[in-house]
Amino acid sequence: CGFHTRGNTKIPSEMKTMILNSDDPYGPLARAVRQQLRLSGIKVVEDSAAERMNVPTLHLEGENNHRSTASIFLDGSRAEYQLVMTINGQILVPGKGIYPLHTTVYRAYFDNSSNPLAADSEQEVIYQEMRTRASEQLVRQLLAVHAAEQQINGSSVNTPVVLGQPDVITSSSEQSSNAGVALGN
Amino acid sequence: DDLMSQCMLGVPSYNRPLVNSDPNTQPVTIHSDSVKGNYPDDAVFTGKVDVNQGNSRLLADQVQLHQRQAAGQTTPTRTVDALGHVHYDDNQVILKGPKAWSNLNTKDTNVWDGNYQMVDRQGRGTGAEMKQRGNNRYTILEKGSFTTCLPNTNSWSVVGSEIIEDRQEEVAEIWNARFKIGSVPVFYSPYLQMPIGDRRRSGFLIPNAKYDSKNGYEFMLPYYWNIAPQMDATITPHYMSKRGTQLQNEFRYLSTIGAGLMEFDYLGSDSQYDKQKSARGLSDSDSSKRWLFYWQHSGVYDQHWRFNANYTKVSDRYYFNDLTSKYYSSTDGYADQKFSLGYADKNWDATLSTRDFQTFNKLDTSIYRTLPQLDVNLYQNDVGPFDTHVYGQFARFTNTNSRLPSATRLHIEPTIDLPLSNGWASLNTEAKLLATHYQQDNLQHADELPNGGDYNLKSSVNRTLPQFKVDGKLVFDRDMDWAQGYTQTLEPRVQYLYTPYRNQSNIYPYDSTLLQTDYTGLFRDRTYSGLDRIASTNQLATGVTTRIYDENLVERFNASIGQIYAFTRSRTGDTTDDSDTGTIVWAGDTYWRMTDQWGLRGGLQYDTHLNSVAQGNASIEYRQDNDRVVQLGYRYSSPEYIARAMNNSVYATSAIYKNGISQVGGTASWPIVDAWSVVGAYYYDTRNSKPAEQLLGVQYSSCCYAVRLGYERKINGWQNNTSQYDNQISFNIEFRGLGTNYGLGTAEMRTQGIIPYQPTF
Amino acid sequence: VTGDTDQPVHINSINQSLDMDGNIATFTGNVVITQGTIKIQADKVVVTRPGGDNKKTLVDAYGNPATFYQMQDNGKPVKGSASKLHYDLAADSVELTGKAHVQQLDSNINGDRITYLVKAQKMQAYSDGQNKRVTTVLIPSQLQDKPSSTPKTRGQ
Repeated sequence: CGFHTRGNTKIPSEMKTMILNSDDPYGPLARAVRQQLRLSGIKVVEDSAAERMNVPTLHLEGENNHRSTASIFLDGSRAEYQLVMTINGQILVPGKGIYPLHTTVYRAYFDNSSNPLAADSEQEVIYQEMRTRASEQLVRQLLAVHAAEQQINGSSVNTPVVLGQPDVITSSSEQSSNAGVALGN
Repeated sequence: DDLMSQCMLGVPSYNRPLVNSDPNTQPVTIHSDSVKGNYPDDAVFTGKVDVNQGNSRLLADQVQLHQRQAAGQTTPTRTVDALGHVHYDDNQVILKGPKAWSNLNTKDTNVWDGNYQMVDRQGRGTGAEMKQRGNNRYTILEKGSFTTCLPNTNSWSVVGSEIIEDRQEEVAEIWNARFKIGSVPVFYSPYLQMPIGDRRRSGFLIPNAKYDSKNGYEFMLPYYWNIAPQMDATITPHYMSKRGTQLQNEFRYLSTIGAGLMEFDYLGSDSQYDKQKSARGLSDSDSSKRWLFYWQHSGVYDQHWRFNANYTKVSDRYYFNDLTSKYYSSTDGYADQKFSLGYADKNWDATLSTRDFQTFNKLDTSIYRTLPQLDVNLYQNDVGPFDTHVYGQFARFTNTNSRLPSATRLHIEPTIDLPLSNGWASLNTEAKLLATHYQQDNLQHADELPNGGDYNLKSSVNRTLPQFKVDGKLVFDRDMDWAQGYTQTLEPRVQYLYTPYRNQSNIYPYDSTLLQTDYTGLFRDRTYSGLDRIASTNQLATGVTTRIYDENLVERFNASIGQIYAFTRSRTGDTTDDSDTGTIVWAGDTYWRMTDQWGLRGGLQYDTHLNSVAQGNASIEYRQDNDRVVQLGYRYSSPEYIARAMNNSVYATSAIYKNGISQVGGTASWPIVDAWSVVGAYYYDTRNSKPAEQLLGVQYSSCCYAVRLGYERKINGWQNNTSQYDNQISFNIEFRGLGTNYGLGTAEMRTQGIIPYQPTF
Repeated sequence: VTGDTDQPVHINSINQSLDMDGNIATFTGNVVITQGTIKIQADKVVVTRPGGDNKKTLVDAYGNPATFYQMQDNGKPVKGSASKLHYDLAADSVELTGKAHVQQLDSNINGDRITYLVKAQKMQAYSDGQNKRVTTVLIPSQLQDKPSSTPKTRGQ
């Protein structure tokens, strides 16, 4: 049926080595993203002025989480929590431009008001899984960044790429310029 | 945003070239049909006189110029008297009236019996005498009026014996203020202050009035206190005719160790609460004081130290149901009281935390909490081909009911991974040892614990068990022939997990509850949360995901389906063990972003043991922009699934929970003709055929006010064996045009209900 | 200054023509008239003495423009220019017509017709019709005190 081992959804070669920086470099999110980059075969190197010139830098802005009620029981108390985790960042490709990265993960779980400690522990497990899933989505979005660069290089051969390539990856609806869409699941 | 542009059309803008050097260095140019008089000391200009200096301009039928050289003064003071159709304007304000006087040196200007209009901002009114002072900073009105409505509308206005508008501080002060709706005065205050801009300075914010069937007539007058550059507070007296006057204090701060917010609300005595005491089975002697303390803080200091606080404490169990606030929901069954202090470094991190809760659950109030808990992680990757990780924990569990057992738990969990991967395949083999020691004391009343009879707790328990996992993933892709430039991937995944059986019925499940096995959960190496239940597993989880990328390699669609095949039954030693062998669960999820406006998301969990769907949800949404949204969703959880997830026999039999969840519903919001916006939400419990929530909100926003009418009917309690409904009608008026808020209120209205709108994509 | 009008009038020009009985003298070519601190310069000047009476001399100066200068008691000079100056010694008044401009140290005025009563220091300016306007400019004190190095933009 035409399937072959990973072709154009491979990690682009120019992104095989990367710097990861974040305001919270040792927090759970940075650790999850660093682990995902390693598992995807991307070498994470220390940030230094020299490296910064020839290796892309992935800057993590951070995670913001929103928790709200998704369904209720007959006494009006919450049955399920819905969690939405949004990760924002940018990837700076030397000589090519800065591209925004934006990914959202949605999960739900049962709130157990008779054992809040157990519900809180479940929430921790789910937040950790959401960070892993969000990191996977961030890595997959690097493909779209690479594709966007090809388009620019293809279309404007001689003019150097100016920083701030239009927003390629976004899920917020008002800037849905060229069918940019973020993964969200 | 079109409402803002419409409002700005009704406001004059300064269209002359802006002169920003000191006006006194600018020449005064006077055009007129003729000039007469002892020139230039006294001169009379007549005929369409137009006096210009810098940014200011004065038009009148006739202007008299007086120039006096005060003794010892180098510069002559020039004053003008203007008569007939006087129109003064500059880049701040326009003054019109029959007569005016102006001192060209000091720019002080008076206009009598006229009206004024701010430039580039909403704000106008009339004045028996209008004075410009402080080099155009102040507009002082004797017997004046102020409103932000556009010239042709007089929806509201404030009339005062004296009004001082300070454009630098962006505040309007009004003495003997009479607040008028149309031409009817509805409120008097000897002194009133209104902000006329967004500047952060201490002073009253815009008052807010509303009617609410639960609280009666409400009036809020927030006072903003700009304590310091990195600290400020909002103190809001909140009068409620049915309850009393509540004082809401919100204090916000920024510091090197993070940012946070503290809220303290205090209601001296709640008369509505007193009325409901008998119905709620409370004794009349219970205090009717109602208060809330909330503290939220999060911060990373010097990249290593991390400090978080999430603490809520309220005066009584019904607080969340009776009073509304943005810090909790009436559906909360408990309030978190958690603190954590941690240090994180490249290869290790340690976190000391306490987790306590205030519970409002009607069924039982004895809950466990950890005071304190210490979690330590050591990471060492690339030890040869291996990655290693050691997790250690110390936790002290105590129960709010001191009769019940307490416990100390020591846990150590070394893990070693062999992650192998190339471009399209990855194989991770993991071996782990879980060693836990429990010291459980105060066991004499153990049977009073929920499901207490199922356990025989021991004071000292050791549990050690290994765990082995092999997780393989492949990624194939192909170009899709029927969609130009699109790429489709196929990502099979297989995971074998082995955990030996240990009887854990002598350990009470302090922080363990059954985890939800959606598709992600299939490949989890844990069946229960926490550490008190580690189920035996000898299972193979298999699954496949397919994704579709568009021509820009942006992911448009994905769908996953997987199952767990158990070679042996999964047991923990509890009497509730009832799992089977063979395929025990199917799970799948999907996400489809059809276009930029259309999105679909769903998930399903099929429990083969019960031969029924355990859990399922789906949601489809059309979103054109932030105001135009239509979302439809369905959530299902089988009763058996809930009983197992709650791990509490009471849930299986109680009428509240026994029919499970089957909730269909949706939210929609749509603006009509720019100024109106309508929001509707409807959620219906099909199993118990009862509406869970019905919400309707309509907001009319104009340039100088917004009126919001809301109706909400929701389940807000359980009495004499049936759901208790709350009908709430609210009418809310908000003054506009002072800051820059021109929104249609759709976002606020959508998240007002107990099941707030959450975007699907 | 006050007392200018009691001073003798000196006129010199490239050529003059005299009509004795009509008491009209016409001077053309760089005509300069001085009387005390008053000084008028024009291309052509017609001086008439109605009935031979010196006191009622009328001076009509034409130029492109003709200019008028007088030092005032307060030490601030007054300058004027127009295409026609009509100076009536008896009435001590100067009437400037045609792009008339009068300038003092701290203000200047432009119009179609300006009458200036020299002794009484009174001035009147008129525009002669529909869209014609009189423009007065009051110059801020700072510019006045220091003799500005750059040429005044508004000077004629």
